Amino acid sequence: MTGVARAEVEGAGLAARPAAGAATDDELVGAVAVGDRAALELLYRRHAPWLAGRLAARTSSVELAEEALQDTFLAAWRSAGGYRGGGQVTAWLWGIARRRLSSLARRQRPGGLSLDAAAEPRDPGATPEEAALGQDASDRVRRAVATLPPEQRAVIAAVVYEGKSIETTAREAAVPEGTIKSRLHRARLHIRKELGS
Amino acid sequence: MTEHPNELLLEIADGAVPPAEARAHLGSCRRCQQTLAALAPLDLGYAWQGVAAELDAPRPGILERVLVAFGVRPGLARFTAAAPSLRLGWLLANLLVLGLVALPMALRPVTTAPSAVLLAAPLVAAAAVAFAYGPAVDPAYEAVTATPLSPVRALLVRLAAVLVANTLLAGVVDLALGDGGPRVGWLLPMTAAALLAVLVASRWTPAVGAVAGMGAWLLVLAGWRASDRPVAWLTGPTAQAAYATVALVLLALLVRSVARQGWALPGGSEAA
Repeated sequence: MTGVARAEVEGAGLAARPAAGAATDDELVGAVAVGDRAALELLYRRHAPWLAGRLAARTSSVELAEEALQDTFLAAWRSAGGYRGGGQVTAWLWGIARRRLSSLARRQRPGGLSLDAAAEPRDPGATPEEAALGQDASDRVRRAVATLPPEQRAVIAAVVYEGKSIETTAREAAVPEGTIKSRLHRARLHIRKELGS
Repeated sequence: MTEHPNELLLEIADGAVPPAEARAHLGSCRRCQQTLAALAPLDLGYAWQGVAAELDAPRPGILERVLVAFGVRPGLARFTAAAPSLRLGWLLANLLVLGLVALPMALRPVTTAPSAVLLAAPLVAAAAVAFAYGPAVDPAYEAVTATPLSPVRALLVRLAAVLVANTLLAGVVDLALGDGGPRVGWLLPMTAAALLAVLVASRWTPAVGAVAGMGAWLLVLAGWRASDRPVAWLTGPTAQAAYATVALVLLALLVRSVARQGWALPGGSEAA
């Protein structure tokens, strides 16, 4: 991601309103329903990362997943008034996202529903809430990270545990950013495999 | 600030839902947002820009939505509705011109005098050509030149919409005049003036075309002033037949001109 693009996500607005950061998801959707764009942005920061992971796991096309993610938040913007509340924002968002991905995949491949989108190969639970992470997951991830080759473990340590940017990590390791990105990618594949087994 | 949910970030990037307190943290923690952006399988910033761009996109106006409802392609509908001479201010100005010319007649109807709407309608129609399309008046002109819509076709599309609007306006004024009104006698001269304007505009620029259309009509009016049979000049059957003939000839010339030089507008290069 470019610096400009990141500035957009982290941009002004909500950062200046500490009270908004403490709002529950239900309150945010309520604010979105009356046209509060800053609330939509905060909702995006909270939910886009896991939605992106799920969408990407269901299609081989990054573009399709990106479009579905965009459509999800546009649909949320338009239909927030129809949200019934009850702390089900994650299930509500995922419902929209799954439908958007299916219909986008159908449009791209006329003649059939995309198997990727229709099947639920890696869905850990019927509703996202059931798959919520906890301390148990942390231990499993830590064990998986420990099995990584040293170079990949160093990148995970720098980026994930120390919160360094790709640029900083690359500079400190004296390698190109692309190398850090590919190590990160391989590390994630390794961890996913470890966690799946 | 709560503690960074470092261990969770890898799984979140793979699609696992973080607990509520971690989600709240992600909403306000730049460091975690940055890490997740690096881990995400797609570009989160780019996707948000797409959302923001869509929210910023202008909502289609009433005219555009009506056109789309009648089956006009969305792109063409937006282009048509964007004609400067279809803006509310321009249409109100047209109505004002027609109304001001018509007012004395409405107050003191003189059956022998030519209809006021008849005098003004062709002028308004020809002027509309100048403000229907072209580099000088259209803020979207440069964008339009990059589309497959050719300039002359663009001018005709816009002009058709503008003429319909002005015909409706002139009709309203005509009706308001009641018995003293010209009974749509203005329609043929108005069409002829507009066609002349388009024909000239297709060879030079819309402004020149508008001047030609208005000038021709002013010449007719000058002839009427000098004539001893004013009604025949404007609304008599012979006059109306003459307007119809002129309109048909102009239409034929326009079709031939388009067939010859294609849909290019010679004045288009001045957009640069």
